[in-house]
Amino acid sequence: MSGPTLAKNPKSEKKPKMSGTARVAPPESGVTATARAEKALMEGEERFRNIAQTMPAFLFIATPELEWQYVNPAFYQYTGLPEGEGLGSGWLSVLHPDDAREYRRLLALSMQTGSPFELEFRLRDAAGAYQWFLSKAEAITSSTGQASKWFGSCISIDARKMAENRQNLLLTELQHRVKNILAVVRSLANRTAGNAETLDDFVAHFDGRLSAMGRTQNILARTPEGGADLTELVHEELVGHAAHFDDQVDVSGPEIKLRAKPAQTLGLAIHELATNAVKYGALSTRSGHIKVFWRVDKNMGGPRLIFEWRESGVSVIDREPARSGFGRELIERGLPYDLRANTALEFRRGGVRCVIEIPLDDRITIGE
Amino acid sequence: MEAAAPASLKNKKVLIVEDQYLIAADLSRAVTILGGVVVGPVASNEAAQAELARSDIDLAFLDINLDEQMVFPLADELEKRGIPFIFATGHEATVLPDRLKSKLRLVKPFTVQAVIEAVRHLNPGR
Repeated sequence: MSGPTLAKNPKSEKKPKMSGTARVAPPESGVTATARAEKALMEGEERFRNIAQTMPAFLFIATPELEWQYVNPAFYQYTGLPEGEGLGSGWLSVLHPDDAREYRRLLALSMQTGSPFELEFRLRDAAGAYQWFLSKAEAITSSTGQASKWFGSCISIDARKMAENRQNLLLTELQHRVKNILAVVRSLANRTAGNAETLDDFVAHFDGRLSAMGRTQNILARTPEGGADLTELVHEELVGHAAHFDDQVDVSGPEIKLRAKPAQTLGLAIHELATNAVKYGALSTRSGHIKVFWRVDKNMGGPRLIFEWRESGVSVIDREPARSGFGRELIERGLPYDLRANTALEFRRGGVRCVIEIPLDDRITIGE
Repeated sequence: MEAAAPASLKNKKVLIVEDQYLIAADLSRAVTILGGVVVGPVASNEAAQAELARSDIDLAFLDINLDEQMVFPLADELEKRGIPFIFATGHEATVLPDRLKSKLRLVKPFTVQAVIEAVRHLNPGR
């Protein structure tokens, strides 16, 4: 092989192989051949110019030292640099300073080895903001193996980078949430152990509380950005115990979409109420009934959720002292602390009555 | 108190800043076990500042994210007053601004033992 070769284009090297048969076409005159070659060259250049003019990517041709000799108009449109200012090392003026070092490192490497150049970096646009680009360049080598020219491009990868950043943020947030949930689970385990008299007792209570957290997470997972629907939260807790309570339970209220943390806290509180009802309250007897209803009050100050759990038909109220444990603490102290709620929990004739008032803002709910 | 002494918070006023009741209750229990006096717990920067103005605090436990509000201004205030503090958080150190990256971090979920270890690291002689 001789002369400059373009390794990626073997076709230009290939000579037609004729196995001894005579050539049919008459030989061209030298003048015609030159004219045809010039025409082909011009056509080729025009084709290149057309592509380069309309291409949204930046296309550049550079010297062996990667000094730009040509760059297409898209570069000047993006950067706002005057025509010609990008040539030589001029384009480095729009390279993000934090990316310059890595650029020089890879440049030295590519110049030494002739290996393809590839780097993601930020370039400043006409308005002064930086956007991400992926730059690739390949050397065309001469017969001596030295790079004689570089052909390269820069394509915008800003959308991809933003998606990556968002993904990283979500991942960080997810890790944070998982650890928080584990901390709550640990706390629940300790608290449950503190109140349990036997291991079976502990397992039953802990399992119930863990399941309640799981149900809340399921609701949140179904609508990742939409929050947990309060109606669903109440239904899941009651259905979690048994479906046949349908005729004993009345649930009504407007749509409330809770954020993750308030959903978790309120879900646990509702679980404690439901468990109590099954064991000692309205769901421990066929004559019992629970009305769960809520509304949003906008009269005083900001909007407040007023949630009420009202049991009826419970003739004998017993064991109240035994029930002043974890559930009661969660309602009387946990909800006020976590959600700035006002709560009232009464064990009275007919059954439990619990009122929870939560000031609504965008820390508690989504939308509106 | 010497550095070699067992970790103790005897009669120290310990501010707890944490936006979740159950976790705040756990921390309070650990502080009480170590002989400390719990201040708070409080769930917001503002409530913490109020406690800071009201009483002399010897040590603080800080959750990093308080209902989407970062605790860093409070950390800076504690730093300015020379009050030692420990982050108690589910966050990685990467969310901390550089000036706070070297601070002690208790990673959730933590045990009482981990709280004791963290307190021991704080150089109780000071």
